[in-house]
Amino acid sequence: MIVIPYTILPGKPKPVHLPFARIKLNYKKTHKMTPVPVTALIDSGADVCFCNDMIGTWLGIKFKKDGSEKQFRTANKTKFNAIPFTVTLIAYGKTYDCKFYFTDVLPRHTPIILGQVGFFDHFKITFDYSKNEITLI
Amino acid sequence: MKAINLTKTLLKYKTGWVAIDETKMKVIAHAKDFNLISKKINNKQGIFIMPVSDNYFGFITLLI
Repeated sequence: MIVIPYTILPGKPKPVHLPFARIKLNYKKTHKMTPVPVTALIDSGADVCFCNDMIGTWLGIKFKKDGSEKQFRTANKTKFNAIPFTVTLIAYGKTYDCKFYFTDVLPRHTPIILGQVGFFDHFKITFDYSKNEITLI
Repeated sequence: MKAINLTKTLLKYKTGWVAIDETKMKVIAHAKDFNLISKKINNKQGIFIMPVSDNYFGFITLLI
């Protein structure tokens, strides 16, 4: 069992508590890996995992408009496209291949979003805001 | 459990990316983007990186 604390970050009108994990990503085709862990939002409201395409480019992913793009919509119904690529996710003692959807439209402060398929299907996750902790089993 | 409070740590930074020492919770490097911060830290251990914002409030979730 892994217990990780919430992260308190600057916010207006007051600081916000966010469930941030720290993960590494590796792209097998290029053998490139994020040099150190990167913060990632654990988001039960996201159906899949997302990653900023700038990180994808750093991993050596070649983005092409070849029809593999998938359209998503935000809670306010704004539509955007993202391109799926399978990368290796390294987090809290687990290493596994995970499909991430790469896009340039994620909020700047959440460049990686860990959603239901790809993260919640690999961990049993409990959020306890009052105790400031997230438990991963 | 005590939350990780980065409000003071990030006070000086409004944009770009930072590298933070995991133990001291201090910023050890700052750069304009992911590419530059990755080059700056040069595989140092015991740190993590994150993008900076002066306001982390207002995230909305995503749906297929």
